Parts: sequence; structure tokens; C-alpha cells
Amino acid sequence: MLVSLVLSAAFLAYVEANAYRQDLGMLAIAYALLALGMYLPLALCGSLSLAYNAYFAIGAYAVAIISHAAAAWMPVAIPIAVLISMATAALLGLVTRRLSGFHLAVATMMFGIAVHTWLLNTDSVTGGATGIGDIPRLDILGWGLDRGPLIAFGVILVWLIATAIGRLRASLVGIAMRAQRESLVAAAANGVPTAALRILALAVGAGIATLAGVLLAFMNRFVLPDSFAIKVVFLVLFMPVLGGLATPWGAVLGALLVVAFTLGFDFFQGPGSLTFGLLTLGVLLLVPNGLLGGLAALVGRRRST
Amino acid sequence: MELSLVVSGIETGAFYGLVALGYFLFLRATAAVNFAMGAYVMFAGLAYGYFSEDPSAPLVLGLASAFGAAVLFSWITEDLILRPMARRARDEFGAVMAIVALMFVIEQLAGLAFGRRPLLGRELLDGALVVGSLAIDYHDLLALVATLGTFAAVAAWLKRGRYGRMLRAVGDNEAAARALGLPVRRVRLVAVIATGLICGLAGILVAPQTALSFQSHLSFAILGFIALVLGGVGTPWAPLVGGMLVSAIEAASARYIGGFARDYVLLALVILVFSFRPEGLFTVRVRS
Repeated sequence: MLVSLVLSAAFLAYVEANAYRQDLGMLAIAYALLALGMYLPLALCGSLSLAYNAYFAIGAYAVAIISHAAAAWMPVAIPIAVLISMATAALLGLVTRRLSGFHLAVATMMFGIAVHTWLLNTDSVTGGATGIGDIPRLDILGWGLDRGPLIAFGVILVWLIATAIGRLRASLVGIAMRAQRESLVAAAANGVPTAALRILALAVGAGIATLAGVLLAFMNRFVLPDSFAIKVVFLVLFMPVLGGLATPWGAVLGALLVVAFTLGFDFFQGPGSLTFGLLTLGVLLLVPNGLLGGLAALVGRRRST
Repeated sequence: MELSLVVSGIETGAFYGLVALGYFLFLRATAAVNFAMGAYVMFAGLAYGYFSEDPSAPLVLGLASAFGAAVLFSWITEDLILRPMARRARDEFGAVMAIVALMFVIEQLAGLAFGRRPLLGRELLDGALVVGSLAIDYHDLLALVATLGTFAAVAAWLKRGRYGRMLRAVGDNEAAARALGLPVRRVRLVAVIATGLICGLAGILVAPQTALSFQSHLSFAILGFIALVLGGVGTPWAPLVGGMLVSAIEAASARYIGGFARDYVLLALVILVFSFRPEGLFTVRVRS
């Protein structure tokens, strides 16, 4: 707890310096929210969804579209975006409830690809390849949030959500979720509503990922479809794995590592991404519990000897 | 419908079928659906395109690098990634994520090695067969013949070949095969190398037909996987039927609804087929 607070403050102090660092900082926050959204169903329920670029896009486009088509609704744009996303995820979860493993991965990935195609080709709603610009700044109860305060808001959001997921993990609901992951039949026999819990986790995860899109839209004041291509999902998938599934802070650490590795250059150009891919593969093979998990094991071993 | 459209549909179908055959063999051998297969095919195609771009360069350099790279990646996937992970993991998660990570690594490697521009390979045979108003490149005919030949060879190998028959045993029941003293690891290795060769061939054949870039692999992987699931794993010919079906559906949706509709139709197809007939059209039936 204390560590995370100190690190958050250090992060804010680093980011405040200039606009370039602010952009990096917001990218890290958006990635962290996406990774946390993926972490929740993955670590607690064992539900893997690769449609996260879609939820990310829903957040950003919901804000952009509402700001132009229904400006009066702006104060509630964030809850609207989150609700649309949760409903989409629940629907996708229902439709794919019979699938698992590789089949589920491909079906959800195909959904993400179809959403990106839709963003590119539905000019009347999404502005097509040129996206939507002129998004007003975020107002919360009359407080206009500029870039700096917006980042602080993002850090608080990440901190709150990571802490909440940590609490959820240890709660009765979290235990029921993890139990059905370990043994579906045993959990169902003990009265755990397994299917409903999985869909709930997927929906809440999607809602968290949507916040990343919302923040990015308010930060940049424009949205472009290519920010929401399926390649984003691969990065986000690596984040919780890299950090470790034992704690939600692993996902946050993974997000910071991604930004650190790419240093703000376009991620998909240059050797940084290759290094990052190899690192992920190495962690998967050598440190199956992720970096934080490995660190905890190391500390534990030292204490016991 | 124009004849040329049918011909190009069959070419594409044969290509998807070949990718699906790679999935099929890898699945039989390791029980893993290897998404990275699209990346092997793409890397092989790019390697072939890169080394055959200069018309004076020897063709054999391009061919060897394509086959070599695909076999190497396939071997790495099984021996360095899946086998160590299978020893400790309980579920498929680790494997799914490791394969996605490998896919990403191959993509970035291809981008660094061959640049980020699209590459078009040299045709293996020049000229075209002209029938009335229809012209079919000799390369495309060769590709079709090579694909059919590969399917026939794999079918015969699984039916009669020494390792082919052992592969069926390992795929059907690993524990029993191990108990009978079959060299499970070696059988897997042979199958994985065969998969690599098939991917290499697919890459070489497709490189002159479509300009490849370092991000082409995802659509290969997805369409090949859909072809595999549609066809099923009952016979070695099933992936070819699946490939042809996927190509027909893709062409029909592009023609009658619009180019961008392909992704929506594929999404609907994936969800319907995976949910209601995940075993595909051709299945193994065993009396019980």
C-alpha cells in the first residue's frame, strides 16, 4: 500500500515536467487500466478475452460521439461509455460461453478485428479513417480538468481499481471466482453460479478497460481508429503475464514496462518491441508467476533461510 | 459469376487448406492449436520474396531460407516452448499466451529483417496458360498441383508411413502410445518438422500471389484456423475442404455485401461454427 502510494507520487512528479512526458504518462495509465481490465477475468475466473481493443474503442468513441451529437449528455458520458462496454462484453460472453482455450481466443480476437473494421468503414458514425476531433475537456462538477490534473485523476483511478481488485480477490466473491477456475464441477456443486460469475467478471473487466479509452479521448481531444487495432490487445495481454497474476499490481508494472521499453516511440517500429516480446516469452518460460511473483518467491526464500 | 473469380477462389482456398494442414499436423502431434503458424508462413514467404527479388540471385537461396526458417520456428515452438510448459501447466493458458508472444516476436523479427514494406516474390514458373479469355499463371497451376500433392503425401504418410502411423497413435492416446514404448518425443519432432516444411511451402507459393508484409500473419492464422475447424480433423483431406469453404465464403461476402463485410461474416462464422459444430464436418467416429 505504502509502496504503491510513494510510487504513484514519484510517477506524478516525473510526468509533470513537460508535454512529452505527459503523453507518455497518459499512455502508461491507459495501458495500466487496460491491463487491469484484462487481469480481472483472467486471474480470477480464468476467462481469456482478446476483445479488449473493442472496449478501449468504445470508451474513446462514446466520449467523442456524445460530445458532438448530444453535448447535453456530456456530464454522464463516462458512465454511458462504461455501461455500453459492459453490455457488449456480457453479450459476447453469453454468445461465446460454450468456448474455451484456443477457440475462445480466436472468437474474441475476431470480435476485436470486426470492431476495428467497423470503426474504419462507418464514416457516418465514427468518422472513418480520420476519426473524430474537437472533443471538449473533461468537466467534473464544474472543475475543468486540463492535461496535468487529468493525469493525476488517471493515477488515482488506477490506484483505486488495483486496490479494489486486490480486495475483490480476497473477498467471498473472489474466492468463489477462483474456486470455479480451479474446479468448475466442484464449485457448481457447492452452489456457485459459475456462468454468471464469469460473465460478471468479463463485464466489469470491460468497464475498466473502457475508462482507458475515455481518458485517452479527453487527453488527446481526438480519436483515431488505428489506436484501437487488434495489435493493442497483444501488448495488453503481455502486461499481466509479465508482472505476474498473483496481484493486480503486476498488471500495472507490466504497463509501465511496456512504456519504458518503447520510450514513447511508435511501439510497432524498432527493436524495442522485439526485446519486449522476447522478454515476455522468457518470463512465461522461466518465471511462470511473473516478475512480482518471482520477486516475492525470492524474498520468501531469503526470509526462510 | 466470372470464371476468373472462381479460379482465384480455388487458389486462395488451396492456400488456406495448406495452412490448415499445418495446424492439423501440429495439433495431432502436440494437442496445441498453433496460432503462430500464420507467422511461420509469412516469415517463409517474406524470406523467399526478399532473396528472390533480385532476378540474378539463385532461386535456391530463397527456397532454402524459407523452408529453413519455417522448420526452425516450428521446432522452437514445440521443443523450447510447448514441451517445457506442458510439464508444469494445468491448463491451456500458458500455452495460448506463449504462442501469442512467439507470434509477436516472429512478426517483429520479420519487420527488422526484411523491412516494413510489402514484398512480392518471384514466380516459380513464368508465363500463363491462356484458355479463351481466361489466363492462368503457370505459377498458380503449380501451386495447386503442389498443394494437392502435399495433401496426398500427408494422407499416405499417416496411413502407411512408419512415423505417420505412430503419429496417429500418439495423437489418439499419448499415454497408451508411451506405454507401448513408442518414441513419443521423436514422433512429435518429426511431425513438427513436417509442419514447418508445409508452412515453408505455403509461404513460397503465396509470396508471388499476394504482396506480403510483416503483419500479414494474423489473417493467415485466423483464416487457416477457421478452415481447420470447418473441415474438422477426421481425415487429412478435411483441412483442404475447410480451406475451400472459407475461401468461397470470403469471396461471396466480398462480392455480394462489400469488401469490409468479410470481417463481420467471419466473426459470425467463427461464433456459429465454434459453438454448434466445433468438431467440424469430418470427424473420427469410434464405436463405443
